[in-house]
Amino acid sequence: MDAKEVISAKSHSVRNPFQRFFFAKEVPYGLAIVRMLLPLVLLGTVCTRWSFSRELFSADGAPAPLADIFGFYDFLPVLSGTVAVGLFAALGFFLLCSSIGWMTRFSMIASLVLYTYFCFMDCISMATKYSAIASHVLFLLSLSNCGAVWSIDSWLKGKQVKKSLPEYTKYEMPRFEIWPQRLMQILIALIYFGAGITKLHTAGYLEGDQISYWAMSRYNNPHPLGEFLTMYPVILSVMSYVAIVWEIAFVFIVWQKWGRIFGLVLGASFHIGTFFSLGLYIFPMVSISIYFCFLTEKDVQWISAQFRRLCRKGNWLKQYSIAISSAVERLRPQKNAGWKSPASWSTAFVAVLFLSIYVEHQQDIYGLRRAEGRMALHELAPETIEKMLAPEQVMRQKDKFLSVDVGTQMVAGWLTNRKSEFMLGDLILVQCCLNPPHEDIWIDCHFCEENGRIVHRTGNIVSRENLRNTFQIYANEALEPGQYYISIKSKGVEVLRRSLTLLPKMSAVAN
Amino acid sequence: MVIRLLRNIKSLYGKVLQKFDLIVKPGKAILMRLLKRGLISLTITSYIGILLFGIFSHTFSYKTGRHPTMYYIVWDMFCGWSAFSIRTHIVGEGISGKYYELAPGPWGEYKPYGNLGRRHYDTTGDAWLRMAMNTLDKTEHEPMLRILCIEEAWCKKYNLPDSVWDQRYESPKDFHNYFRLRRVITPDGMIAQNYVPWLTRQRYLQINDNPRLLADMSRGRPFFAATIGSRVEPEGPQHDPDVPIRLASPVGN
Repeated sequence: MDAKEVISAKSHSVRNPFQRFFFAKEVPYGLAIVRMLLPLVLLGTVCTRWSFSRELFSADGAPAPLADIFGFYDFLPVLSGTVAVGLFAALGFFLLCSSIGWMTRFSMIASLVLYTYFCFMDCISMATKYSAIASHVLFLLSLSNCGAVWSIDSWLKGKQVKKSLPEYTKYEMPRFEIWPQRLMQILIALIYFGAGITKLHTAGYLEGDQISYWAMSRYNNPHPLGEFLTMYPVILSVMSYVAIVWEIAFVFIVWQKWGRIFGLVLGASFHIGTFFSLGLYIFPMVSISIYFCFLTEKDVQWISAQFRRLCRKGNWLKQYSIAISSAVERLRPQKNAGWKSPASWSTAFVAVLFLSIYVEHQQDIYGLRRAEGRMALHELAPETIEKMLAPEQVMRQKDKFLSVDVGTQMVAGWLTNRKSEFMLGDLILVQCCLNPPHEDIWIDCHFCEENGRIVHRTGNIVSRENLRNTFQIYANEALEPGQYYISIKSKGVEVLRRSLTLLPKMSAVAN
Repeated sequence: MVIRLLRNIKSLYGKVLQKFDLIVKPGKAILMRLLKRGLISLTITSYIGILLFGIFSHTFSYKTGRHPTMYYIVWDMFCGWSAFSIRTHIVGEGISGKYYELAPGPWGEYKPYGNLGRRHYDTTGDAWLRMAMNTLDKTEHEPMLRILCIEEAWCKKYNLPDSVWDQRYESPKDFHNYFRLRRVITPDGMIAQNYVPWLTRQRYLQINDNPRLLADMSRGRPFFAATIGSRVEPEGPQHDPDVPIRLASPVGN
């Protein structure tokens, strides 16, 4: 009697949906793609940090352990400079091996342990939410059989299996229970749900103020699109609504047929959007690479069928694919002994470890072994330090104001049609935006002629929790057409100005 | 005779073993499979349970700062952004009266997420002391009197490129930066003075810009420090000790 018969996946119990959801068997194509992409992205972040690893992660530098912020001092041991440098390079090696699927399981576990350790060692430049997500994914990949397909391991194993099978037997791809893949999908869904909850907690998110200030900041890479969009805050507000609805709905739709496509396409667009509008580079790469865990065996079969169809149509494509597969076959080792792969992997690991330590020693980041002696400190110019140590300054009134815009139409609390020309008789909306923090503030809004004569004067108290106030000015038909301006004053000082032109009212002319 | 007997015993033993295998092997396989399935189910439920606890903890602000591992299950991306750009300067004052830059060190600085140096992302200031001491430890310099950590702030609207600025504003950029001393450290690494961040200070000043509130505060506060550890000057809004100071790392996170 076979064990499979005893624990049947087809039993009609209440556990059936659970069994089907977690224990169905599939070829782990999706996880294999995640395995290939995510470690490559992380490898990029490791490579850029490696030359500073002594300073960032070791006792011979200035690490910033994550646990310190939570009040857990000495939570993890801080390694010596040389050990940290070597292990950080080893992390790069393990990530590369994970990506290509060489000694996959071991490389993945080692990557998980080292990556999480180094993230814990420097919360300033290494621990971010994308690295937390990456640690989860590495953990789930290390539990899975992601190296069973499209990997060096499967390539080497495939040779042995093919050799042992008779010619007429077709070699089938290995199939495994999909629970690690499901856990990864659940992780993504819950991350989005949590992020949605954060946005619900964040004041000024739905109005677009927060995104607008983020787009104005320079903490990330250049993002000209974001800076441009600050002129259209209503678009940011709409995008904020879409993002929060999508993040919360994701968990409910992603396991539906069309919901999956819709959720993932919207998600990819969202992350690509953050690339251009907020200057985030790594986060979108991490997020989109883990989306491939939603890829099913059927999807891959469909894609490969399409590819085969394309090959049949295009002869050149067929030739290329045949050439590539024959090249791969030629590269495959002819005689493969079981111990050779682990031995060469171990040798490579040791080589990377020692080479990295040697190179870093030669690099001498701190210049301690220079012939001319230690480096000297940079002296600050006296005027710079004088400015820095000057007595406390009161915030200028103009720094409490963000902008003033004039138009005639409002949507979602924002002026949507900025204009500089109005007809006599129009109702002019003047929107004044303030920066937080500001006190309860009185704002004067003066509608003036070009020569400075005040035509209309209005004002309002803006309480500290409000970031906008809209004044209404009626362009009286008794006014002369011409140049005018809006002056926003606070504490008697003009802080913002906006010019506008009043045009004569056109009367209907009979043809 | 004896040899035949031994042969019979051996064949009998073999048959018994065969029967035993027929009974035990499938049983063992079933047991192993059940054990494996049980372990997997336990892993699945534990993992989902931990993730759900993170969501619960974050939603209701319950023990989010209890342990460093909470960082891995609380998804507080987008913690909030201020209207001011903040930068950090770490400066050493030598006995000659000259001032030296201690961060970045003379060997340069790592820029993790863009064009800004690492020190600017340390919003809590936890690593300022280590950065300064590391630079002093690795360089040639005169003896230091004190180390100063200074915060610089300016309104973010001045970050806008000129092309956008010209469309939104009629007047030219009137950039102005504010400085605030955040921390004074002795040359042997002791924190001598600590001050609240510039933004917190501004918030406090603006709340204090209320005569009625100030009168209420002074009415409720004794003239002399009456209890051990009480402060003559209030610190401003208090922070919930159970909630960690958010990393506010601007990395999309």
